[in-house]
Amino acid sequence: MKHLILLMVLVMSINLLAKEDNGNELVDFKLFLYKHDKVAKQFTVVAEFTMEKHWHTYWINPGDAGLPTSIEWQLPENVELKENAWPYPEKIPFSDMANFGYEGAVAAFYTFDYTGDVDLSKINAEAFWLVCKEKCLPGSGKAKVTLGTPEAKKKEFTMFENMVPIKTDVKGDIVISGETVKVTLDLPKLSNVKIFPVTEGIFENGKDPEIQRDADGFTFILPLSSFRIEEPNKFEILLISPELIAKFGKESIIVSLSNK
Amino acid sequence: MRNIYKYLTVSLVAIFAFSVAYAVSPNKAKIGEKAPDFTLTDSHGKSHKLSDFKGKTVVLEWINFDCPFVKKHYDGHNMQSLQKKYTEKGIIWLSICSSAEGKQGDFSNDEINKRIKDKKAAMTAYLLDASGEVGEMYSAKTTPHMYIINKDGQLVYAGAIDDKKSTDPEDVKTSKNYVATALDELLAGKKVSTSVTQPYGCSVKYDYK
Repeated sequence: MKHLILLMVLVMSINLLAKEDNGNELVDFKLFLYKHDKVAKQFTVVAEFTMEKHWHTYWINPGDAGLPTSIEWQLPENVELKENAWPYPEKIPFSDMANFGYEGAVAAFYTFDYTGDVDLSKINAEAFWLVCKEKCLPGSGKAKVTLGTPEAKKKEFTMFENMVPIKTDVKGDIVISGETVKVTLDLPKLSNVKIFPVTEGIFENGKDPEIQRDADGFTFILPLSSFRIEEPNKFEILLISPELIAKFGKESIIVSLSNK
Repeated sequence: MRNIYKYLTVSLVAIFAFSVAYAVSPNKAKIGEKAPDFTLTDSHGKSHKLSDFKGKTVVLEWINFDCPFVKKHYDGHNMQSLQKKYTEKGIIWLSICSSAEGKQGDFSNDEINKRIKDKKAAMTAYLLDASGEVGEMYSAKTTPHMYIINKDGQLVYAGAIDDKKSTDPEDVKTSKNYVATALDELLAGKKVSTSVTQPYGCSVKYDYK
């Protein structure tokens, strides 16, 4: 009996170790049909990624390291990808830098248009990710669309859908001065807010923006990276705040800014 | 009177020493400016000082042999080919590991030298920066993260090794190598055309909690 327990512990440890060395095993990738509008000939598939505890994958702007997750679709000829939408990420700091990504799980929303009739069972995809805890492993997985969303998943997917930022036409002014850019948005002042750059390679991701409480309008200063790939003449930022729900119906928005 | 002169001399020397130390130590690398100096020990126990290579072009390559992005460039022999090609042209190639003690990429000297030999790597030296001081000085974010210092000691390139952000060695064939482009330009006596790109890779395994 003792030997059997020892053997079981050994097998379990080996299993765990093997998993920790295989990026394919650390992320579970699944596809579910989420919405289907037969009149508009449009449907949305949820791509669900479930990460092993403490491991994370990356947002469309991964920050200072990492890689965004990508999906390659195999579609019938009469089906076309219209858009994809990822929930807002969390900030994952390292040293004085930061990444943007997802721990635990994430669901992304892929919307397709089609002509004629569609056979949804013919839609499948391969996803490619980089999954990191302290170390990083590349991984991939294939999935077929499950024709419907299980009841147990609906609440979770609604939560992620609510976390997808909406693109707005909020206007704003930017003033570049030295190693910072001052942004004033045509928005009421937000007190509880997170601000992340959507555009890569310009900002210092590890430093939080400085909000200027006594300025006119909603004003904050974004620190620029000393190794920026270009000057911040045109960029997008993500704002997350419960105070945005009243105006936009969502707690996260994307604002496009340019130097006039 | 003589004492006053002595006092003045000592003070001036002290002020001078302080300003030199202050001018050098808080330096953070910036493109187009003088690359901050550093001294690090290599995997054979030999010390190297950046300023000793004055008059030569120097490549800095942030490395972590176990990072999949580093593996991409070593398993396909891409990094070694670049090291061999350019060191044969008189360029100094310093691979720097800023992995903290016990973190991924931190190996014993024997292990490092074995890996260098097995992989037929051809860097001038593999330098150990477990404190992360030099990594922070250069704001090294990823492995790999590449820097080029010209013959005048100015930092002329910082960023990615190439334009294909992936871990797939197959992508090397179709990518544009920024480091090779910049080194060829320098060897031809030209200015580096692309001086900053967005690096990609694993995060540098600094000592952080």
